[in-house]
Amino acid sequence: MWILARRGLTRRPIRTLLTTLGIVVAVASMVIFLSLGEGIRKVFNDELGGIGPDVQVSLSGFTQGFAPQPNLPQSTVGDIEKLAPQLGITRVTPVIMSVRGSLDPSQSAVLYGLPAEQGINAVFSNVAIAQGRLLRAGDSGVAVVGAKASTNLKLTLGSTLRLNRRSAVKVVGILQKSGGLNDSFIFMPLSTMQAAEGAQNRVSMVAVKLDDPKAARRVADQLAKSLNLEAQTQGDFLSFADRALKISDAVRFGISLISLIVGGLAVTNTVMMGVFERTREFGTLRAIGARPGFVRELVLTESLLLSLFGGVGGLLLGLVGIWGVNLYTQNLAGFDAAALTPRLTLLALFISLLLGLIAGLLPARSASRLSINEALGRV
Amino acid sequence: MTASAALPTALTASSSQLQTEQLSRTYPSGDGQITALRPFSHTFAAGMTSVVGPSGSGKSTLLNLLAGFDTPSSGAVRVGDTDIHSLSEAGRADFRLKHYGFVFQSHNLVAILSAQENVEFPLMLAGVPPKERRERARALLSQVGLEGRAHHLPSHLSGGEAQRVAIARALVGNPAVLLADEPTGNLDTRSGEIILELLTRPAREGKTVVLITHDPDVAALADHHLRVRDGEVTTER
Repeated sequence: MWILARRGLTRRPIRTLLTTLGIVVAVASMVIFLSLGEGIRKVFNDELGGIGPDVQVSLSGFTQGFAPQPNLPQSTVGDIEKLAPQLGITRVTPVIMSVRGSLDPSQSAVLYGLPAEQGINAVFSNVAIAQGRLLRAGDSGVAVVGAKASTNLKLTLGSTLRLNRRSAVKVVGILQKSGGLNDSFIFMPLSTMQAAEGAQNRVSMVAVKLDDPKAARRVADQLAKSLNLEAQTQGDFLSFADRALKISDAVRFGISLISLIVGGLAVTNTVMMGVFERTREFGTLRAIGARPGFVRELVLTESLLLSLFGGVGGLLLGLVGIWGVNLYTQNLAGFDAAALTPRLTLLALFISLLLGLIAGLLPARSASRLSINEALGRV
Repeated sequence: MTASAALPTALTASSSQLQTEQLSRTYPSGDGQITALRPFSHTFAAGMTSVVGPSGSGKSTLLNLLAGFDTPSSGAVRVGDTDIHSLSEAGRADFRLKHYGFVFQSHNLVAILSAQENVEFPLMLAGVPPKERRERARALLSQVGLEGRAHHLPSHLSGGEAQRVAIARALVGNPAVLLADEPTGNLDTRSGEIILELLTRPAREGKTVVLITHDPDVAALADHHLRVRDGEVTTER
């Protein structure tokens, strides 16, 4: 059966090759599209597991995205500190965030203000200095820049970064490359950023560290209830990100579905042409004792083989595409936005085989229902 | 996919006798019907039976019904105790695999399989182990004088050689009934003589060989003779 199917496909090598290429491109585009979600999901999972606050308190939760407006009174810090002993809170850090956007993505960065005396490590424990120094108590009008932000914005030690017409900061430190999101962050003292944003005594959120991170869910619930504010854990952030990615996955899969359908039609066409060309041969097989099911399986096997080769080829081409995407996002933001995960690999192979199965059904049915007489030209 | 039982090594004459009982075939045509084969009852004796008649007389209709390629309008075709038209499509396929061999006017070999693979094919369908089917295919190719051409594709064989491979394929399962439809129709005289010689061998061994031809010289080689004219089959002495 396998030999027959394989030789059936190689009988018209150019046509088979072109059809396989069609599937390769369809599967590769699906792999590249979906790998973006997988890569971003991986970045979140890798980074937020080891860094960031155990709980973050804000006025609006994640409804304003990852960088909430500075609309939370700074007095909230005191309110949380009062509850610290009973909730096992070890550190309370007020944070103000803002996204510095640009039409050119490589010129974008996240501005992150936090108390200079607490230092960047209060929230991001894995940062290390490459040049200059970290923030320290008494700092004002200075910034410590992530490695990628430094490259993209061409900031070196001593450079001046203009925040707006009235405010500027001087770069006093450049962080080592971490391969994560904070490579695109610019850290500065809370007061400096509040002044620049015109948000005196207001913060975007309050980051809370716990002595037992496993209690984050319980503490978040109690803080939300006691302070009438939104309190989210890292898990909440991950599930929020995951929900957003799932919607985005669906959109991207929908787009790639178009190319998959085109690839499937190409397989149907190739296999159907093969059936038409081999009508007499199938008639002979049936005449000498092959059951209709044998002919059906033979045609389906050809279709599945075609799609399997296309699927494997699509994965390989997808890998090249992912490499290209990551090269771009590494240059842009210092992290890999795309990833070929085991589940994406399995999904791509499953989809291509499903494609082959569906595409082969009609030709297989036609082939198995051929009248022997008509197939042999005996009428 | 494969027939459950291995091919029979030998069938007794009583279990393999080919018979027709009031076998007929009509086709709808406009408001009426065309009779392609009038009711025909006959017991095919062992040996070679020729079926002669002009084009369009009903010879091929008869062979199609005997083979189970077509469904009769009435009557039955029996091999031993089995009415082949009472079987399902898959059942008829299995029955053909076990009891029938076919030689067509055109060799009808599978173009992507070598001569040996073509001969092995019915054995593969029957689930015969690879080693045994290779040996049996080689033996049959040797019998038809093509042991040296076993690995050639049909496109690399002459018409006569390809037809000899088709005969080897028809005989490899040791069938009780061999149906041949104008097997020499596309061949030169010398090749035709070789093919006829190969077809008379199983007839001499007691198998039922039904040979459809319009060539009186070819029909003369048969032990028994049927003539078909306007759908009417008559026995000739």
